[in-house]
Amino acid sequence: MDSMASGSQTGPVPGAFIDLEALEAELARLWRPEHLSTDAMSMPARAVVLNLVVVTAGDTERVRQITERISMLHPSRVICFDMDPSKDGEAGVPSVSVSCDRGPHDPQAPCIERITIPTSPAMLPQLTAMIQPLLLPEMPAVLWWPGPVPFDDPSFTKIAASVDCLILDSQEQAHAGQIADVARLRDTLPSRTALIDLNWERIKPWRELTAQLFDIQHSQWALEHVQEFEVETGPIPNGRLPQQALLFMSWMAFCLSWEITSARKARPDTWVLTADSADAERAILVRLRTRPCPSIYNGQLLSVSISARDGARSASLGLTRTGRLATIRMRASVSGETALHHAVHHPPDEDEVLLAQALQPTELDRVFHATLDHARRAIASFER
Amino acid sequence: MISSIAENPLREGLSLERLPEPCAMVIFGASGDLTSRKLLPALTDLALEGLLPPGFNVVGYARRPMTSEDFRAQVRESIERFARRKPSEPAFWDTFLQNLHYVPGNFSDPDDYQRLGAELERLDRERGTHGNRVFYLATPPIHYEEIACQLSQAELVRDIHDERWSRLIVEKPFGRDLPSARELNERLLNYFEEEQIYRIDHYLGKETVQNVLAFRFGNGIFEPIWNRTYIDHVQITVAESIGIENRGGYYDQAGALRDMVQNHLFQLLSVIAMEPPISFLADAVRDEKVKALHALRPIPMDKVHELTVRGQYGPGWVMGQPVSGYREEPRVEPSSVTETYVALKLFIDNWRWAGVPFYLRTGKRMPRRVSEIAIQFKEAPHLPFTAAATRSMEPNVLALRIQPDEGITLKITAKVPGPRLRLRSVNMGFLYGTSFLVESPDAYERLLLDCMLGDSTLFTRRDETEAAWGPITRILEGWSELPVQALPSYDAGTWGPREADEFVARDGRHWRRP
Repeated sequence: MDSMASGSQTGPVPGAFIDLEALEAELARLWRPEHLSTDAMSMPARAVVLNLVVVTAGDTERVRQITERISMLHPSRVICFDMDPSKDGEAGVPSVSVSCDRGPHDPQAPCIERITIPTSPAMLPQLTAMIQPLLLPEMPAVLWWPGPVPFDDPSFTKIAASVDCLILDSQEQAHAGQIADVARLRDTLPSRTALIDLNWERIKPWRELTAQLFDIQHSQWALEHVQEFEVETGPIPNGRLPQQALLFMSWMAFCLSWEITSARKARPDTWVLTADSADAERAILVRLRTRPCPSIYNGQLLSVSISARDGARSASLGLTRTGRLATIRMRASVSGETALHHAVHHPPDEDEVLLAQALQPTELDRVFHATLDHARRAIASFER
Repeated sequence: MISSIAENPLREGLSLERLPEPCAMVIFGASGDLTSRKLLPALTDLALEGLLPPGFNVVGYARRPMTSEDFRAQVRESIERFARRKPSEPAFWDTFLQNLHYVPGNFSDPDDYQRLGAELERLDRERGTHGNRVFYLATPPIHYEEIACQLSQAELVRDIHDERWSRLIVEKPFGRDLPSARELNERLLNYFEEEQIYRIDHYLGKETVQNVLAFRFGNGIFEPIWNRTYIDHVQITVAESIGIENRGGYYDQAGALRDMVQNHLFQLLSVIAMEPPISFLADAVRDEKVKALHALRPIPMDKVHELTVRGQYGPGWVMGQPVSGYREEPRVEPSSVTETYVALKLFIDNWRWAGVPFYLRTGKRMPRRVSEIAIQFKEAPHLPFTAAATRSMEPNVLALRIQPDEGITLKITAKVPGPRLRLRSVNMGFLYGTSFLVESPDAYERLLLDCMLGDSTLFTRRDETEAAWGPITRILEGWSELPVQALPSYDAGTWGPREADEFVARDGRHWRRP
C-alpha cells in the first residue's frame, strides 16, 4: 500500500506464564475505538478468516512484516512464537498488539491482532499446549514454519499434527535431499492436516507455462516423445543440487510417468539423470544445472528446455527468464517452424505473495504428494 | 496422442478452468476512446497476470489509416496512461506488442473484410490463434449491424457447431427503446447465434456486484429474511460526481433513464430481487434475473409522473470546483429537457416482493460518486423501551456498497454504555477493501476473460435486455405524453431536485445519504 496512516497499540500482558484471560482482556482493550485511529462510529468489523501460528527463529522482524501484509488479504489472529536459540527455559512475557494500516483514501482501516510469545528451542515440546488455548474458535489453524524445520524432533511432528495446515519451505532447508524429509513428514501427518511447501507454490507458474507449451495443437505430440529435458536454476550454497530443480523435474516425471533409472553429479554445476518413458521404449536424458545469476535468483528456476523427436518431426520448446530476468519468454518450434513466441511478466515471488496463495483453502494437492514421491525416488537414485 | 488441452497430462492440478484457448481478438473501433482507456489496458493487465493464452493476438480495425507499428505505439501510450499495472520489462513489451496488429478498413467495405480475413488466417498459421475469434464492437451502435453482416458475408463467423469458435462482444446501448432493442437483436441474430453474442454491461463485471450474489446465496442467514415480511423497502443509488464530459452529443439524445437505469440500475435491481439460481451456470443465473425483470409491475401511462421524477443539473459546485449547468455543456441544446437525474418507484409483483417499493435514483453532478443498494428492514413490532430510550433509534438497514469503499454495513441498535437504558443506532461495517487488501481486477478484465472462456454468466442475454427495456419504454412514452418546458432543476453538487425528496416523503420515507 502507499503511504499509510497507522494506528498501533502494544501492551505487555501482566501475570503468569500465558494468562489467557489477561491476553484476551488486553486485546479487547486495544480494540476499543479510542486506541485505534479510526472513526469511532464506523469502526470496521473484525474480519477473521484464520489463526496463523508462526514459529520464528531470529527473523522476527521480516516475519512480522510479512504477516502484517498477509493479514490484509487473510485477516487473521497471528500467534507468533519468537524462538531465541540463545535462551533456554521459560517463555518470556507475552505481548499483544493490534495494528491498523490505513491507505491515503480509505476511510477505515484493516486491523490485525497479534500475540507474540518469546520462547526458546527447549520449549518446543510445550508448544502444542501453548498454541491450543490461544486459537480463535472454529477458525482454521495454520502453522507457518518459515525457517529450517526440525524434521527429526517428535515435538515438531506433534505441533504439526495439531493444526489444520502446515506451511514450510523446502527452499529454506539445507539441501534438496531434505525433500525426502518433507515426504516422510507428509506420511506421518494426519489426513486432516494439509501440507504446503512454499517452494511448490514458487514453481507453480513454471508448471503452468510448461503446460501451456503443450496446449498448442502443433506441439502436443511432443509430450510423448521427449528425449531431452533440462532445468537451469541459480546456484545454492556449497554447490548442492537446488531444491526447485529437483521438484520441477520430479513433477515432470510424475506427469509423464517417467521412471528415474540413474542419477549422478556430472560436474560441479550439473546433475545428470536418466529416465525411462512410461512404456519403457524410450530413454530420457535429464540435466539439472546451475548457472551464475543475480543473487535474488539463487536457487530459482531460470530456464526449462525440452526437445522431442518422432521420426521426421522434431520439437524444441522452452521457457527462459530473459532481459532483467523478470520476464519469462516462451518459445516452441516444431520441425523448424515457430509455433509459439510469447512472454509473461514474472518477477521473483515475494514471500507474502506465496504465503497468501498458500493460505487459500484448497483441496488435497495430489500432484504435490506424487511429486514428493518421485523426488524421494530420485534422491535415492543419487544415493545409490 | 493428446487431442485437447484437457488431455494435457501436465495440466493436472493446474487451474485449467480459467485458461482460455488461443484466439485472435478483433477490435472494431480500435482507434477510439474505449479501446485506449479500457480494452487495451485490461488486456495488458491480463497479460501481466499471465491469464492470456499463448497464441493470443489482437487485431485493431478502424477507418484511420495506420500501420501495425503505429498501432503498437498508440497502444503503448494508452497502456502507460491507463493500465492498472505498468509493464516495465522491455522483454515483456517486445513480446506483447508483437501480438498486436492493425488492419485499416471501412466498416462497410467487403474488400476490407477480405483483408481482415487474410490477416486472421495468417495469424492462425503463424502465431497459433487456432481459428478462434472474438469480435469486439467498440464502435457507435449505428455500425453494429453492418459489421455483423460484413463479418458473416466474409465467412468470418464460425458455425456454432464448429470446433473453432467466433464470439461477438457488443457494448451498450442495446437500442433506444424496446422496439429498437428488439430490432437490433433480431438483426444481429441473422448473423450470429445468441450463444455467440456477449452483450457487455460492465457493471456486472464489477467484483462487488458479484459479491452481492456471493453475499445472498453463500450465506444461509439472509435469504430467510429477504422478502416482504421483513423488508420495508429497497433503495438503489448510482450517483456520479462527473457531468457528461465529452459525450454531450450522445447524452442529450439519451438521458439518465436510457444511459443508466435500463442497464446498470436494472442489473443491480435484478441481482437483489432474483430468486436463488439452481446453479451458477450462465443460463441458470440469467433465467432468474429475467424472471425478476418480468415481474416488474408495468407503470400505467397516467401514473408515470407519479412514480418517476426527472431533473437536470444547473450550475453549482462539485468537490470545491465551480461547474457549469447541463444546458451550458458542449454539444447540448440550450433548451434541452434531457434528464440528468431520475428517480423511480417500482414494484416487483411476485410472492417474495409483493408490496415492497424499490426506489431507484441516478444522477450526474451529485456530491460524490457512489453506488449502493440499501435494504431497509421493518421496525421491530413492539419496543419495550421508553420513548426517551429510543429517541436515536433508526430501522435496521443493510447497505451493500458497490463503489467506492466496497463493502457491507448493517445498521443495528445497541445500548449506549452507562447506567441508563438508552439505545442508538450503530453501523457495523465490513469493507472488502480493508478486510481483503487486494486490488480488484477491472470489470473489463473479468469480462474479456470470461468471453474468451465462453462463460456468458456476466453478460446480458437477449430476453434480459428486452425485459429491461419494457418498463423503460413505458416511462419514456409517459414522459413524451406530457412534455415539459423545463425539468426540475438541481444545483450541481446536491443530491437531486427537491421534487425527488418529496417523492419519497409522500410514502413517509426519505432518501439515505449514501
